[in-house]
Amino acid sequence: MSRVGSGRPHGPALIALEGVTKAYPGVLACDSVDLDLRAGEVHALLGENGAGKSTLVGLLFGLQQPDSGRIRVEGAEVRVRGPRDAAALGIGFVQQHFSSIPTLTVGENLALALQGAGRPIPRRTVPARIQELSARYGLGVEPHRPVGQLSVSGQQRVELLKALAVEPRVLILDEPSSLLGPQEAEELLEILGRMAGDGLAILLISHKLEEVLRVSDRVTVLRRGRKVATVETASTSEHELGRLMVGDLATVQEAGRPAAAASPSDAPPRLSIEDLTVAGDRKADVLRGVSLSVSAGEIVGLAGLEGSGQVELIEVVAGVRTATSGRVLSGGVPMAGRSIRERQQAGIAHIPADRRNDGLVGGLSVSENLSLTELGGGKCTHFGLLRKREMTRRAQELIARYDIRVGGPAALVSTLSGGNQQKVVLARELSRDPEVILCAYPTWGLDFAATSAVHAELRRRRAEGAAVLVASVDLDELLAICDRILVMQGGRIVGEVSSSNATAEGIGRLMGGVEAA
Amino acid sequence: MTSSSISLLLVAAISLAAPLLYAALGETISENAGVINIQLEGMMLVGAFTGVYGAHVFHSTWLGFLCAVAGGVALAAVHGVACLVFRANQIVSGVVLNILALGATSYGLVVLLGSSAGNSVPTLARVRIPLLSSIPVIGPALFDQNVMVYVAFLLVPVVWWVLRRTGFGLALQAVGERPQAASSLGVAVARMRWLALLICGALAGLGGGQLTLAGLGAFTQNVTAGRGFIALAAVVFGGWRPWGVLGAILLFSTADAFQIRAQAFGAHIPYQFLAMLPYLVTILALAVLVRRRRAPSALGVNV
Repeated sequence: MSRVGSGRPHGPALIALEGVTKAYPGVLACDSVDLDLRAGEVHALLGENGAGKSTLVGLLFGLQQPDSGRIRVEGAEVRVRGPRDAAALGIGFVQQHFSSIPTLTVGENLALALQGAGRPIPRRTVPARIQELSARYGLGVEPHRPVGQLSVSGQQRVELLKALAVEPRVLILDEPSSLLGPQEAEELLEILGRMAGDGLAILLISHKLEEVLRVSDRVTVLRRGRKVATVETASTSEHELGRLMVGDLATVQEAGRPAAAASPSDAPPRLSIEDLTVAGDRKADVLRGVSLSVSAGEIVGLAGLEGSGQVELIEVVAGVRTATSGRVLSGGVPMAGRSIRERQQAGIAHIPADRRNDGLVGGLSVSENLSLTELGGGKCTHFGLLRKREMTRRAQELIARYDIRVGGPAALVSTLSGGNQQKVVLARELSRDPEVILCAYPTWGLDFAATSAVHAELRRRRAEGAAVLVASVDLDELLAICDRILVMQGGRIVGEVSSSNATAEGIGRLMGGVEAA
Repeated sequence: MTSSSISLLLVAAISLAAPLLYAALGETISENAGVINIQLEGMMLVGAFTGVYGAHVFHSTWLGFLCAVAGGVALAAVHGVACLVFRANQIVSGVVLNILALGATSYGLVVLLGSSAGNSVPTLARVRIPLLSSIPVIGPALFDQNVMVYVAFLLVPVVWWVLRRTGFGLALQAVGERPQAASSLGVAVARMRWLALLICGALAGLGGGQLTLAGLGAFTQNVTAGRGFIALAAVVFGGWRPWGVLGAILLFSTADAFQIRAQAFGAHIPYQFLAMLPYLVTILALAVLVRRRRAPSALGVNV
């Protein structure tokens, strides 16, 4: 494992947070946290969801004001009242949610960012500035394309570009690789290495241990608003960091893949997909002749970069999207022409990629969300009227069973954390004891404990004989839970590996198309 | 039609377009910043009234125009307090302000100006541009109009330039498209929205003033007669871009000029049907012909 970090962090602290505390009603988001950043280092800020990482960098960037504690820049105490102050102090921030305007071009977005930072430049000089920065850090960004037309990784480079254009001394990045495939994430880490080599101090927020070990010089671990430790990356290990992050929960990590689920090779597949093609809106076809099968008691993974067709494949099987040609058979029965509801009744459950928009209704309560698929069947309705008491009882049962952390069944789903929202989706979909489970990005954005819970539930379903198809961009996840992994690229399956002899690097190469030829 | 009657038709079309153009360009700016003004009609009506009243009191058409601007801005400010300060629904606020504007100007007409007939003010003189105005057919339409017609048409490239080529325009679009993102970039979202809204009020008031001070020379009850709504529609049909807005308005005003002339020539059609014509032509042509553009994402959304 070669590190891309710049080597020696040196010199005194460029920026120091001293005893910074921030409380929200009912939550102590940051509890007397100390942190220092040095020029030329990549400093990772590691912690689970809700550990206080975002609050801490929000304080550093002036999005919120600390209740107590000090921020020093080169030893002098400063107040950061907003992004403009932060920019003036040389602090740049690449947020998790992109701050570009999709309808404007890269150049226009850069002009806007510089203007917002109080450092406007003439519009004529914008393209040259982009070329220069793009060449210096290997960003490969074109000035004249609308940002909304760029790929996710392209959009992220625009964010980097905007941050770099104001010539910051400190750059904060919030989960920058969360939307990227392995190849793209790797490129991003190299760009970060180059920036640190250029003398920038980089604060990298992450919950990916491997990435942190690979790129950082030092790591600060937060847990429940408190700093647990700051360690030199060279003298720590994945195991130690994991333990620091989750504390006693570290034992949640299960022992890899379970005993190869008795593979009943003669049994007919529970789910089979034959020569499925989906025509694209304008460009190339989204799926091009995909065939695969999943047996009962098996978890099959779909690996691939975002946009390789995995999510679309899942959507076709779930009935959300219509195939141009090809067949889907569930238990030998063709699914063509069946509605989503009919497929649910045929034992197919779907955990959609975008849980907030496709999986849940944020303005409804937990118990209402849990009942959404039961409205026609009679479990939750009686002559069309809601059976509130039954809904509450059912919700309480599922909340307990899936360990959903929520005040009660009446809490609005939009107030839950990402992990608990996903547990609500999982609880609802799996409560009908489906025989076929389709999941897209099942642990996207979830922390370690929630991810483990989701994985454990999928494994249990497999043990009970469900056929599970999982799409993910996270190879570690697929390697951890799948029996077989199919690699997709450009709407085709380009390879299949049994997870017992697969490596992340090998699959990564397939995903990027290196061995596809 | 003879070439002289076509020429007269175009003269009418261009001068009918000017009030609409002011209001619609103002609304283009405001909607690009995410603020929708259903009360565009009301702001024109108030401008039309305060314009005539100001011209009366100060005995000056130009001060009348200034009062028209002030009237439009005043109504816009009420909308701003309701929506930008107290976060009222923009549509509801706009609808209510239209009703308020109609009532207030009808009352003001009786109390301040007396009868409809008795409030006439001198209108703007035409400024004939030598040589160019002698071009056959189109010359009189384009180069023999009052000054405020020229200004209205010159505003089209100006607004285009501001939106597409200045930092102010960029920030405006950012605010209308992704207010949170704009805010995190250091753009003062609330201030931008206020500015865009007040500019829109000023231009809509000017459009109302153009109607009475440059054209009719008097205020009558509900003198705008839905022109504000046409301007509002033109912004959508024009795809939130100044040149598109101009096209939509020219289509409407040409149809309007045509029906006015048809009435004058006493075609054997009830005049009520002729009066419907421009609205029908506009909605049909634009519904069928126009390539749809997406509205600013945060249009009408309070932040």
